[in-house]
Amino acid sequence: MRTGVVAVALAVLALAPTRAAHAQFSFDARRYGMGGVSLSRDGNVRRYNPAYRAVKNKNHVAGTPKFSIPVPFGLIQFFKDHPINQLGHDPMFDPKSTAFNPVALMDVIFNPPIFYEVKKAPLPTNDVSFTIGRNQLIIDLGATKVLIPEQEFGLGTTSRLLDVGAGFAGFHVGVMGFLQYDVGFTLDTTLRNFLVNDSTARPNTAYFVNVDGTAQAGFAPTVSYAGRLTHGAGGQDTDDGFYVGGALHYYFGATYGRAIGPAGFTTGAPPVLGSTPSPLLNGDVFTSNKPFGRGVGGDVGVVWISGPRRLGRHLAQDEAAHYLHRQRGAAHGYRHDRRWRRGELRSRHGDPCRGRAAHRSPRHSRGCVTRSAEEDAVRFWRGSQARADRSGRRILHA
Amino acid sequence: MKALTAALLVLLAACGKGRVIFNIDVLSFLSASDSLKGYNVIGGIPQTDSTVSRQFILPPGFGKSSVDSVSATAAASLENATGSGSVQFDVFFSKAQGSLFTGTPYLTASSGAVVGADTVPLLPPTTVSLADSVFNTDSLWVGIRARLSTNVGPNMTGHLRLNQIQLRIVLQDKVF
Repeated sequence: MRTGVVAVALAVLALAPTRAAHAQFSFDARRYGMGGVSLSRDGNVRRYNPAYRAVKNKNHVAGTPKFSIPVPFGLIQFFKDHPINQLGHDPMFDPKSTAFNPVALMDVIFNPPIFYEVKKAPLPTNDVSFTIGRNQLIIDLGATKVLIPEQEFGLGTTSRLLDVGAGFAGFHVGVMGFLQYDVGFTLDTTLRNFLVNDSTARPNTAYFVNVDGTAQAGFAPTVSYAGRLTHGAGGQDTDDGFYVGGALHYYFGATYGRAIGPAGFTTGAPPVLGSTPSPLLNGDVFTSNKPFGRGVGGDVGVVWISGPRRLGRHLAQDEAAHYLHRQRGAAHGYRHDRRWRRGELRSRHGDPCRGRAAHRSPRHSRGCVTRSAEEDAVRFWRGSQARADRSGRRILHA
Repeated sequence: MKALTAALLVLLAACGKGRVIFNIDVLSFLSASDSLKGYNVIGGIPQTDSTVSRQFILPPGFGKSSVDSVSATAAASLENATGSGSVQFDVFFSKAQGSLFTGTPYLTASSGAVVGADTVPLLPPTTVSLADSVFNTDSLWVGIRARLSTNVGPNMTGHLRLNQIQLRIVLQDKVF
């Protein structure tokens, strides 16, 4: 029983990283402290804001090191607490140990102890009570109740993993890879009432979470142009000035998968505490049967630099690209019901330069996905209706 | 449901420090016949016991957790019909059935002298035990004992009605 629960907990935690990998595994303490925001005018930024391609990064400060060697002081303390030669018996890594805590292990994985904690962050305290009877199980989560989401919550990220190419005179031609996943969870009313409203668990009742997950990847040949409109007070010798850029992407979807359905369990016959619940896992999995669905998208961006200060803005419009299946020789999608995600903390973009990205769009701009749907029941929109449905995706970030 | 409780306990471990409190309605695990136990004892018997024992299941994690404190509360009533004597009401908890009625009861209350038709409340004071290893288990036995002592005369008959048996088990921080 315990092993199963631990396995499920690990799986959930492993699939639910709330921060981008770059930010978590960065050895740069400044970048880590700023939530992974890119601190330099590097390629991470250029993948999103094409105006940055025109920035030559001339603003070198005297005495600035050309490179730095990070010293992970936190690992010293970690391995002092968890000796390498005893890791096999360390309760932190041994699921058979009575002191094994999967949450603590996942915390180490997602927050590697690279940095030395000068001061421990205070932990909140909260009492949780269970009322247990033969036909009764009531949970009072105390202050934790407020964390139970009422609406859909989820995790999603879109990363531009690579950007290779060559340029001349402001023009740049290359190929950009993208990876996107998006998982949404909605607690069923029965489960939510059980967790929030101190209602007792009932026999022969389904308690579940509605899961809606999408993952896809592909690549996009890209043509972009970036130029400097004005020079700052420093003239030609510095990066000061105002830059503009634009990029056009032609997307090819390489793979796509989507899973929808409830996940949970159904309680057994009375007494509810004495019976073994049966797992509830139902739904549909859709995968692309023909790769290379196509679509177009574009970015425009501006950058203003004055000395150590810089400000970049970026507007992205991705039409279709990611969500397409091919059928009958043409790229089509089917519309997703528009749902706004509220109360969630999600990284729309995996790259940490999007640390302040403001996502104000429906989940899918135009894509393939459901109604109550079977793959065969997909409805395709064409012509004017299709264009009307393609609201596009606009992302503004600074 | 144990699975749900276990899953919740795992996730709660991530919610910071705090206590996990289990309020267990032990009485609900007893059958109706256990909760209303009749007696019929001839007069002049110095001591005779009537017992009930049942096992109930606790959420997983108890066996590996450290119990901070346990509070036990019970209430019963003696509904005597005929005869006279006294009844001592005891409640025991144990990991094993064999050792259930040995040792000191967790809760105890005496009716005092009862004569004829009468109803006497049995309200043992709530007891609190600290760091009790008896509760370091996923399953627990509860035992209820009515120890009767009858006076010479007609049979002492009636019922012992259990109204409440409650456990409040507090685990500090670590359930797993």
